[in-house]
Amino acid sequence: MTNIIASVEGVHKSGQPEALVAESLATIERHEPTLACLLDNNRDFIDQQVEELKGRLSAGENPALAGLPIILKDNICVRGLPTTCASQMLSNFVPPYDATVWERLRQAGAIMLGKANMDEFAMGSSTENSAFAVTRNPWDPERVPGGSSGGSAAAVAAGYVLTSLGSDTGGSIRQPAAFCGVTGLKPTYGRVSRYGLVAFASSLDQIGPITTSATDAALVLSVIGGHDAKDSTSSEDPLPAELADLESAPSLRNVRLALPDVVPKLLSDQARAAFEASLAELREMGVTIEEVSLPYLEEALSAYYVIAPAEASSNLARYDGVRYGARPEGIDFENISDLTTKTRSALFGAEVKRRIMLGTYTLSAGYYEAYYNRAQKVRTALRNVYDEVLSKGFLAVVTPTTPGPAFKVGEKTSDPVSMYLSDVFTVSANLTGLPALSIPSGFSPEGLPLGLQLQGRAFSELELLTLARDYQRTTEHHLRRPRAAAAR
Amino acid sequence: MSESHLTLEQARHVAGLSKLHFEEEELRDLRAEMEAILQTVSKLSQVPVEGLEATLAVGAYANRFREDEVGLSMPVEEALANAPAQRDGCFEIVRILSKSSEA
Repeated sequence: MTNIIASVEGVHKSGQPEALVAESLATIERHEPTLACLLDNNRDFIDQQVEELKGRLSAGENPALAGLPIILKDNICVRGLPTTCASQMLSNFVPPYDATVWERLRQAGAIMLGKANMDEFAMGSSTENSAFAVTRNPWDPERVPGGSSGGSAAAVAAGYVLTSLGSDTGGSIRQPAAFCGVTGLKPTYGRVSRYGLVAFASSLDQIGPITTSATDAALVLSVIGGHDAKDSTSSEDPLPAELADLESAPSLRNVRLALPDVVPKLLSDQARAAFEASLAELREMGVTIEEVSLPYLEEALSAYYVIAPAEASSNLARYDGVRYGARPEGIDFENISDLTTKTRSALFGAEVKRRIMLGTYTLSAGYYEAYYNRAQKVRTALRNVYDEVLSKGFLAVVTPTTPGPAFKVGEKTSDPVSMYLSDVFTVSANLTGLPALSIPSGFSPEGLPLGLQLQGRAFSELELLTLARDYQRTTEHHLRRPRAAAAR
Repeated sequence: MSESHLTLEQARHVAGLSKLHFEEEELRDLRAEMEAILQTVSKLSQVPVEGLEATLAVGAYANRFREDEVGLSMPVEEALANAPAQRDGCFEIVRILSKSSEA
């Protein structure tokens, strides 16, 4: 398996998806005991999908992703399979409907092999907040894969599949993609339907692909993206046809990228050197990089850590212990309020509680103006800043995806503020709704992958991915595999 | 904004609003963590926001309406399938109205 098109062509020719699926399952079996990327790997469901696809192939259909093994983050609903959000609260939840992204992937012939581990309810930057497992980074199992889509990114890096889906509320696709040396795209808000995605912060959440190349990310986006009547925030802006075949898209000429002048001071010496090396690679391709003043990058992180918990506290109010979700064993309750409080206290993890508390506080009378409303105005200021920079002919704003490489398991769990700081470059794209892409851009001295982020105008995914494709044609960072995966 | 001091009493009040119960020691730790986070986000006050509207959502959206026609909806059994307790086609909860006037 090297790229999606080649894999799918093989299935189209043979009419047999079994070999591709078996190869993925063998890789999973080999590495899963070490990496723990998956929460569920339902063989009956896989067999059923393979049979269904074989029927379609023999009837002459040639769907775009025929037989392609995929993995979905466990906050994306698949009818009839557990969707837990890595929370005890949803440990027995079986959705009665399919998420739109999964419906489209299934229609395109993809085979879902399993649900990926994540931070509980997507709250976290390391996947250590999962109630069920600690996922390990395939480049160094002592380190985290990033988060919250850590299982999705580690699964692609370890060669389980060529693509997985994650969700990104403040960097949850791009940061783990950077930590795991793979490509991750957070599309423009509204580009991909959120129907069937368990809500964290609804004005920020977006589903996107994690892949080994920009070309594959474009192809997956072409399948999952586009308008969906079931999501009122989904955009009617048409998807460019070129996404389905990015290799044939013409290269971009005279590309200019904006480099925020505050970036270097937010990086360690090592990270700065690596970042400058990747900027040099871009310049060699003929890209012009200009320093710009882009204020509020650090303040954006503050706005994010007000807005996201506020929306979360409201969204997670639905877990009342009555309509769905688990019930703690053997609890006694006097009244409905007691039932709700006991259920939530027993079944939510520490980080989820922390964010519900923060959000409830900043939304409460007397603090709303100072925190929530202020943060929403800073969000407007940030949007204005990005609009202004991107209207000056820049294709994108370029930054590292993260201030440094993957940290060690347990290193930041006791210090939420330091954990939050690893999101400083990623949250702006969620607050502004703009698309952002993380691509492998080199390695730290200890051999850990680093990512470069490109954040562009609304609905400019094709341009960002085309530039990334050209970068991946001239560099080999994205081709390097962790030892775990190379051993297969 | 400058006042980001969070008292234990306030933290207890917020826990009640959040429908979360904490043991006293847990609440003390959480209060300290929340205060550290609130101090970090106090950077917000450094951004000039006079005259700016709050961004509630990005993108241009309009309500979409459908025809007012009867269609299929989720069968009751499926809607109830994930409930921790159900009876007679309904979610089962404890009594919310008392016989006396205390409710």
